[in-house]
Amino acid sequence: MDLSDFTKTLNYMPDLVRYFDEETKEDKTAKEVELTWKHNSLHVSELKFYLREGHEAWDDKIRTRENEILTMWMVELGYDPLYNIVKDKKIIARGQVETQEQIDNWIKPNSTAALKPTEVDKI
Amino acid sequence: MTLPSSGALDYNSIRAEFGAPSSNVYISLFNRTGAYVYNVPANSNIPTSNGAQVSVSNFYGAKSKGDYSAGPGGTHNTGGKNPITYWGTGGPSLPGMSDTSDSKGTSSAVYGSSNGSGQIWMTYTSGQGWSGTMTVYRNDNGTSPGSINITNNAFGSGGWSGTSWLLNGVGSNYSWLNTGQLNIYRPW
Repeated sequence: MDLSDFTKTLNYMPDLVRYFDEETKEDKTAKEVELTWKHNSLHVSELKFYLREGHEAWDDKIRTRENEILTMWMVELGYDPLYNIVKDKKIIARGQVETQEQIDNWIKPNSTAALKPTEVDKI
Repeated sequence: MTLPSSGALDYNSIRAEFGAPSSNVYISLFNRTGAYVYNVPANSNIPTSNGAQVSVSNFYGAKSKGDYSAGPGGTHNTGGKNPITYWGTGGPSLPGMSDTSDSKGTSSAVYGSSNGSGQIWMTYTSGQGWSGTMTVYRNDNGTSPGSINITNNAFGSGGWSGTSWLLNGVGSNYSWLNTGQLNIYRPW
């Protein structure tokens, strides 16, 4: 199932927050941002995340939160996380074979035509 | 990615620094070793359990996860007639890193080996220079079992290529990388 049809909105919070800028070694203030994820077609929870504007780990933290939210939506939709994961914003079965290359590289038993029987040495 | 070390500090500043999933800020969300706060010296004043007394002043100078990469340290022995043992995170048959980004770029492998084939592999996107000391902290108790000095001639072959750094030949003297979750900090 494809979960990618969602809207992510940013909303500035009214109060400024404080932080220490390690490059300039100064205390500074910044706007705090409320991010909201809302799915456009599925009946799943609207979920949020709060972070200050210009945070050095902005992209990483939001990516992490988005993955968390997609997994929460997956569970809300009744998929067992033991057997399913979210990959590229889609719910897929864990270990699912997706490409021909995976099939071609699958380890299979050697057929008798490929290998002759070998005598076993006595120990 | 640090909170101020003095002056007025409110819950919203803590929330905005560590990131939080709710507008309702409850301080226990930010317990050290919890989902949002690594157990590193900068956060040593933050309690680790819900029952402990906590105040906003415990968060002076605290650092969010963004400064550190992290991963579960593990060990793997290949077995066979000429066994090789690996220690660390992100290496052959070792647990993958759980947090590959830090404030300078990404790290995808930090491991040593008994035959010296261990590697440190990282990129950088900001900062100056290519050498420095990478410090590793244990998330279970916040102590540092060791650090890794990185220069172009630190170990065997390796070096920068573009924005990627590959350090080959990390040997058995880094067997301490097998311990619990590792939080990895590089200041340069």
